[in-house]
Amino acid sequence: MTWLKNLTVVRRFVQLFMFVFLVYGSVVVGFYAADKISGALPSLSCAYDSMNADYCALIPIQHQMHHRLGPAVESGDMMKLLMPLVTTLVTFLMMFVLLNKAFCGWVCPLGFFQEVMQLIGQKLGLRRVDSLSHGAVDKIRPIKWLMLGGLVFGLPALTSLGFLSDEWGDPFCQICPSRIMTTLFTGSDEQLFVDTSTPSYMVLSILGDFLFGLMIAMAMTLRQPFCRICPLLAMHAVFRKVGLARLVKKGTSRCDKCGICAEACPMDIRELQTDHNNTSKAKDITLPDCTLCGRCVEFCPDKDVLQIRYLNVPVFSASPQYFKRRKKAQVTWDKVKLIGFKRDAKVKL
Amino acid sequence: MGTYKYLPTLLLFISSFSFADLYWQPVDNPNASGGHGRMAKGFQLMGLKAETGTTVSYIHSDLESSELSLHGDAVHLKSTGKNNYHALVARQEQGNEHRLAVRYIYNNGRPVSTSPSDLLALNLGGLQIIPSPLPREHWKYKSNSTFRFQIMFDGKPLAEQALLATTRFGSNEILQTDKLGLIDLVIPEDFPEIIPLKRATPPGELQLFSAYRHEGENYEASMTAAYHPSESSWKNVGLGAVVVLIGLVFGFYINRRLPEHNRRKVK
Repeated sequence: MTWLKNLTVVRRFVQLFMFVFLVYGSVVVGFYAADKISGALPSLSCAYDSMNADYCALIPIQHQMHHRLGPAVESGDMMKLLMPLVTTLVTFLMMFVLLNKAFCGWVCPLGFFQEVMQLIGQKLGLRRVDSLSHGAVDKIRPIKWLMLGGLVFGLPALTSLGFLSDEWGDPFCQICPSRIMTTLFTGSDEQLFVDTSTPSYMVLSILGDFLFGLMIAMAMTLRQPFCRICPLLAMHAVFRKVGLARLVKKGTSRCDKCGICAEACPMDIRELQTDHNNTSKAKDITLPDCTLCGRCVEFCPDKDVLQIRYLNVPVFSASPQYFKRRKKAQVTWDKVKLIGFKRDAKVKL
Repeated sequence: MGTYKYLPTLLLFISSFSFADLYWQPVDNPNASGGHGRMAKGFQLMGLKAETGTTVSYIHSDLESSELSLHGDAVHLKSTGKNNYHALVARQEQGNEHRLAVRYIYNNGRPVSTSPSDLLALNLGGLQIIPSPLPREHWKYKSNSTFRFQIMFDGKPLAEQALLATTRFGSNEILQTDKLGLIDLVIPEDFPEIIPLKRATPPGELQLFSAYRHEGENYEASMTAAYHPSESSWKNVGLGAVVVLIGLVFGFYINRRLPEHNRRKVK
């Protein structure tokens, strides 16, 4: 059972389990919205999937902005909006506190799908670009905030206030790749369409389909392409300080010269290497883009420099022994290729 | 819907006794669109032979029940202050005839603590046609899609029981339940005109009837619901697949141009 000692392998099994449960879980939890686990899950599990076990918080938020803001402003009673919105956020937080950003790295079906695509790309010997340049990362990082502010809150709010037509009431759902991916996995092609009924629907549906294709292709070369712009990542970032699971760092002078953690990070968080070095006390380094996947901890060669803690209790810590074993396992795994379209000259983490 | 395949069953069905004709239909504006569950709140009880022996109850989403009075042959539903699926139930008892008409009313999409499956699990007694399941909140019955129903008698599935499915636009089909009392029905695309836009085409009316004789008593049941045109008139799946393919090709093109970058700091 050596695989149980490999955090990534354990994580993949958890992801697979969560994927199957969230995509097909209605057979366990029930079919109707009232049967779902929370109705405000901090992961991209889609309500358009007829067999899902739960659906993401972005659906009720868009819905409430779309249907409640206008009537609330018109009547002067903002409680009409705030009550359901606060209910959704509290439900979201009750779930989120338990796992924090691990909802991205361990639970999200779309995150797992992208990791599988990356795996397929690697096994087919496709080109791998594990890291983007600092400039590219800096340009991409604000997009998730624009997605959250614009697509989840802004456009539904403008629709509710009458500035936009009804089609813009749930724009994120219209372009979300999880909607197409999860429904395809249930054997339905109903969400893979171009809607010709109005120009707005047509634009949104084309954008959604295009983004889905783009995400699949890019995930085979670049790690987690959609996660980098996901509005749920931004929402997690807002509340990450209340989560019980944390990534902490007690950096040493060696961190400046090493940087394997930053290289291992699928989200290109370079601050893992540069922040909190030469410090005597472990500090929270659960950064806005972190998905708590734990790869940085796995590939940190120094004892206890990086840790995943739950309720401030270390549950997984960096160690030289684990690093050596993990690196060896990664080298062995990377050598396994089904088709060699392009051979990598060097083994990457 | 063709009936030839089921002609023997149909003849048996009709000759046993006249099929149930007590059923609900919207009264306010039958042509009104039911966007987001805001459906007609007035309903007419069709086929009412006489008001005697007729009771109407409105079962709320939390399974509380209120008795309603018929005004002529209609009821006007007032808000119960509760959301989600309610059941409008009319029952008529005359001699050895027991007739039941049910319509599930969707108020709006805010989830409630009680699941609609609890509402469907209520044993109303006698013969019942039960959606298995109802369209999920915010979803609806639509053409060219398969929906499952179950026929129960005194809370137990009724095998090899005939069901007549008709629509307001004249389609009809006879189906027969399997061993578990289940029927899969494909709602026909029989709208005289479809406006290619969500919620723009006035809904049709699906009417399901069944009749059963047991120990000298006649039981009749109906279930009615609005249905909407299939979205295939304005949602093109083939075109969607083409756009995904374009995205895929564009993605592979970008992949080739992505610059390599060493994340580690230069020593």
